[in-house]
Amino acid sequence: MDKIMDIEPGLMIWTLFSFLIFLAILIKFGTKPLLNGLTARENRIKEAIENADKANEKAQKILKETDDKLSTAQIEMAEIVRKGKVQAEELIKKAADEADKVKKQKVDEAIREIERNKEIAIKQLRTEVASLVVAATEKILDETLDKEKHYKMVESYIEKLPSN
Amino acid sequence: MAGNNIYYNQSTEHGNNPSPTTNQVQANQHVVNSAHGHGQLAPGDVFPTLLSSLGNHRHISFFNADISELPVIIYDSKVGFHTYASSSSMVNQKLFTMHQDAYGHFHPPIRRASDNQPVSMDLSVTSLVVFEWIAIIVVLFLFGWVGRKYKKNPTKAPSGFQNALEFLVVFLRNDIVYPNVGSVKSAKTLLPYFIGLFCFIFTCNLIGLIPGGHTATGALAVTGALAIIAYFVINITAIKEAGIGNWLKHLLGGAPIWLCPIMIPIEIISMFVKPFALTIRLFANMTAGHVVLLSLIGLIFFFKLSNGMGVGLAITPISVGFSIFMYLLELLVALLQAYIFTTLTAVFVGLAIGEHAHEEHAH
Amino acid sequence: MDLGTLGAGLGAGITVLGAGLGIGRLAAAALEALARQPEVAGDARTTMIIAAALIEGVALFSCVICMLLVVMK
Repeated sequence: MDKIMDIEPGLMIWTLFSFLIFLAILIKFGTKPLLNGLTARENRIKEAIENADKANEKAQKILKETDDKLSTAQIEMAEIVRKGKVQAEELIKKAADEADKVKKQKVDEAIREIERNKEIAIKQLRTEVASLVVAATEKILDETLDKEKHYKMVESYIEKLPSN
Repeated sequence: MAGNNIYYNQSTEHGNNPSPTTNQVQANQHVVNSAHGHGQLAPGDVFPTLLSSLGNHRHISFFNADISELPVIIYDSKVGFHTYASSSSMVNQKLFTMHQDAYGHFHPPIRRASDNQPVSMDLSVTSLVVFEWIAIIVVLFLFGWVGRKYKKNPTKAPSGFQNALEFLVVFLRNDIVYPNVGSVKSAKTLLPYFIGLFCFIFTCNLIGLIPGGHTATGALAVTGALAIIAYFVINITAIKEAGIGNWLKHLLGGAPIWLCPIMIPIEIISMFVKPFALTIRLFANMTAGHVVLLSLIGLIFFFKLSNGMGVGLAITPISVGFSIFMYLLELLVALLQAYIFTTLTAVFVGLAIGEHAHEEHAH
Repeated sequence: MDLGTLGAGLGAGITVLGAGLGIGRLAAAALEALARQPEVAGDARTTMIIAAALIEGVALFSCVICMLLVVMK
């Protein structure tokens, strides 16, 4: 019991000596790599978090850009579709107009052709009639002698013809 | 204290008999053995006998089994420097004498055989030194193992025991050293010291709690040595941070110059009281728990010897129950005292630095 | 048992009385502070432990003196 309160100089010197050597070895092989590793890892984690934040920011930016692009593209697409529709309508209208025009032309041409053929026919008919009339007249002139009366009749016929 | 008286008587007997031969020692031992034979302990001897296991010894023992005697290193101004493999071989060489008790254990002081005076410096490796070394080896092994892991793969996530050690180191760094020291530069320099201090004290405390182990931190010399190192750490850091001039100015404590005959002694005393308080606190905490624990256990034997076997058996459950409670308390105290020693050292460093820094701002 | 031992025992007891009172008041104040401001728990705990250690240190001084009285009589 009395020894508990003793301060032994030998033990004190051994403790000082042991503890200092212990500290030296501990610093060299224990705490130095440990603390270095710890700081390295902490830095790395910090960096990783920063990088992740940055990447996240970038991704957000890209996402926003893409969204913007997408919406613009949609608007553009709608525009194109609208334009296409308008164009198509125009085209259809144009085609229809053209077709109308062509039709009209054709009809006109046909009418003109008919007119012309009619005229030709009339001319032929008239010549025919005239020659017939002449022939008939010659016959009549041969057989009947009422010259004046017949002439008048022919004349009136001829008068009547062109009006048709 | 009857047991102590017996020891004292024996040592005086030895003192009168400066150079006992081995035969005489053995004969003496035999006589004492038969007188002190098994089961013939007086009730009053129980507590001194138990408590004597708390002190420093010249041999390593595990419970009752003596494992080995420890080497003796002596420096004496007259006889010179001597080393012996064990206490018995020293006694056999007849240059020095040492008291040997009934169990064959040696007890200091070592005396010169020529004039029977104590030697000037006894640097022997004692049991507490060995237990310190065990603690040191345990800590170094763990740190070396983990340190190698870090060296191999510094940025890998920790695994297994590495986690525990890293938790401890991060706790010491973030909760004890950095906030209390204040100056980041000093804190960074001192961090390994605080880690070493905490681990050393904690491991010593825990080794003392292993049945059969001895608490190195339960000796004033050990805690004193730790406090001396703490004293130098505190003051050297303060001088480094503030410069020697400011440090000396600090001895005035900020009082006017004519108060210096009062202030300077007070400041110097306070400078020494801090490590002294550290010494006493750790020593008393570690010793008190063991004293209470051993006394509780001793009650069984005391009552058995004084009142007979029946009373001894009856007291056993109470005694064991209380000692289990004390043991758990001791576990807490072992951790708490290591924490407090480290924290207070950090606080004292911070105080020494902080006051200087404050003065620098004021001027 | 002589008077010195008795004095040492009484001294240790009185010391424990004072230290217990001091640490009890300290713990009460710390708990109150914790209840009022739970966010400063860490700081309060550290300060409490340090203050308790200082009180305990003084108490242990006196216990050591009591022990010296017994040992060095």
